Amino acid sequence: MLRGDVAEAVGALKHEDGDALHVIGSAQLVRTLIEHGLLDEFRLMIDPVILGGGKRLFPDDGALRSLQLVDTRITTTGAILATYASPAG
Amino acid sequence: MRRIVVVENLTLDGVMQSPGGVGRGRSGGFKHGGWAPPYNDAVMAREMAKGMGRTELLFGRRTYEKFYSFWPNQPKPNAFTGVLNNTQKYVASTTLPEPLPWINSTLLPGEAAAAVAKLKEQQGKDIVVLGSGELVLSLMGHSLVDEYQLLIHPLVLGSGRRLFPDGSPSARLRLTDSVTTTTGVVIATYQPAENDGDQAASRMGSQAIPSDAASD
Repeated sequence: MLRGDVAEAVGALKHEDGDALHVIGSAQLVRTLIEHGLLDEFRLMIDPVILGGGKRLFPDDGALRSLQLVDTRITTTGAILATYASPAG
Repeated sequence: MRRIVVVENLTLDGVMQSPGGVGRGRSGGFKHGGWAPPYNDAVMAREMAKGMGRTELLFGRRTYEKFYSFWPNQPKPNAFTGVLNNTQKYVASTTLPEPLPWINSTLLPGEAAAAVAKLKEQQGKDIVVLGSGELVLSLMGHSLVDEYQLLIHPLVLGSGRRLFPDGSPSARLRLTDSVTTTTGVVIATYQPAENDGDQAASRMGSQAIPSDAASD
């Protein structure tokens, strides 16, 4: 269990040695990590569907975040699996 | 039947506003106008050139006015001014007065979807929609869009008008092509799905991976 302030706890975890930490789903947690610049890589499945509503991944905070595309793959069902790296820091 | 092809510059968070930074681009306090040009490269130019001169264009009023304020006044030679001037342009607007200022422009008066449906019944070139967010939503709502070409930039803006805002019509699509530029833009082409996603693999060839293998 990580207790207390999420950003501080995850920040501390990142300073340890060890395997990469994968976050799957967990919209609220991901949002917080994005806002604090704690995510190093995004693997996004861009699905061929328009929903017109629902939770969005990135916050509407007006902050420009530039990413680097490192890989794309296409699935047999027409989803684009795109891997983006955050600039270091 | 003519086809309607919607071509849009988009950020990863779905923002379509002011990619070129033309005019003030500040509607709604938007601070990031002009975000797209740094990503232009030869791959994007080649993909965008495929339609140039071979299609006609359709705009809503706002995008038409922005384009008109910019392109005819650009110094020549450039790749676009001549083509844009010479291409037949339709504008869907209930407020723009005639005569339209830009050469080779035709006003589509009245209700946009009805006017575009009539246009589609003609034989002729494909009709490309650029920008024109409100018009695109109206066309989507009436199932008038035959293809989307989305240039998904590796960039998040966190503000600005979206192509598919909350409340937009929902749609199932079929990915028919995907090209990646050297600058990390994914140019994804979609058509409305007739049935669920069985077509993508045959067009993607050896690149396709089974969807259940895609998650680690």
